[in-house]
Amino acid sequence: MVALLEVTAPSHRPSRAGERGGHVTSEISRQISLAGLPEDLERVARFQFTGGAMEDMIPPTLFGALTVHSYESAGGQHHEDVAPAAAAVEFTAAAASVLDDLQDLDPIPGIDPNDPGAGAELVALFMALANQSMCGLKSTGMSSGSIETAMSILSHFEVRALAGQHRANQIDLAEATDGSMELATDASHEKSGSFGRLAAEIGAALATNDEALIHAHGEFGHHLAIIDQLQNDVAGVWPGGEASTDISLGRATSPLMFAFEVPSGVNKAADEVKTALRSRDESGGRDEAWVREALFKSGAVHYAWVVAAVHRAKAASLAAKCVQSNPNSRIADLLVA
Amino acid sequence: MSSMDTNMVEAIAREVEKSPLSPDVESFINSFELTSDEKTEVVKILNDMKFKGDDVSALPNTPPQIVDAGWA
Repeated sequence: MVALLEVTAPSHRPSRAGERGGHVTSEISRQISLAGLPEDLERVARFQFTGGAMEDMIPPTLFGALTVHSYESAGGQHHEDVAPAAAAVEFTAAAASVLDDLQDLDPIPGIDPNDPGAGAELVALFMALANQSMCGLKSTGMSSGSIETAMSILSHFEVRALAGQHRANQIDLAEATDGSMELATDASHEKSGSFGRLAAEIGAALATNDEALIHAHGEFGHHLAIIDQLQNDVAGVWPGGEASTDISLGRATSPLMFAFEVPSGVNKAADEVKTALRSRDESGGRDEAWVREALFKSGAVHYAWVVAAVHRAKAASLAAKCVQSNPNSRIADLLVA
Repeated sequence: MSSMDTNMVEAIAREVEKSPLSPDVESFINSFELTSDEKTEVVKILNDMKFKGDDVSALPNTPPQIVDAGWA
């Protein structure tokens, strides 16, 4: 008998894009236009926000949403004022995404795979656009002190996220040992958690000087980003799921690290996963569909889900704390599934 | 990873065919230093997942989401 996750799709999923998301995408587009880029570079930059086609921009990510929601939750009155900061967060997230694709040799929309220098140029451009966008806050009438605090938060956690990315890339799944899972967890918290923290703290810091409240929003963002990462990790190994490079590249994600952490002889599926992934470059490697099913049977998905549930509970507690400070806070809306 | 966490990894791997809320898995949850309200929330989330015995081929094509990590 195999454990099965049975879920019912929610009958109604509230839309959070709407006007708020529209302001952020407009600001991203405006900042790209303001930069006065060569036509080909501007086209490639826009590709990253339109899914690779010259169509409407896709809604901002979780991180842009965190900035806007945290701003309003901490008492900010006019959500359109925080759009430049949310756009800066989106540019920072886009830079990290392109860097991730470069390091994994994944395709990047509009970039010739034989020209990695063009990808590096795009990373640098998005970092510069993030700074340009933050400078746009000056026209909103926000105090120079709060803008300076927000820029410091962005710089600090950008570095922390990059450090986490570096640490995660150093973990070789095929050579995983006792303790590798702890290293991978720490790297994930530093990488993904830092993005969630910077997005939420920037929004809150632009609305209030209350350090405890800014910190509570940052912690909330941290937990939410970890859940998002765990959901992506599970999607990357889900039986029958869409193609992913997590298994073929042997990424040190939570489910894969779990299988390697299970002591030999405890779970047959975990043992088989370890053997298959350690020999993935040799003829003894199994196909990906087989690895996905064995990972599920090993308990790897269940482990990731228990940890994600813990982070969700922590995030819910922090959201309740934010509501105590501001009864109009809608930060908990981000926890709706 | 602490020795306790290693034990919990082993417990989950052993009990994956049973229930996520077996005593060992509950002990794993307790290792996170949760308040009683937070623990109630975790148990509710996992119960909503309805772990039950069946075949992997019966799983939905996409994994369940416990938060909607986006705007739309």
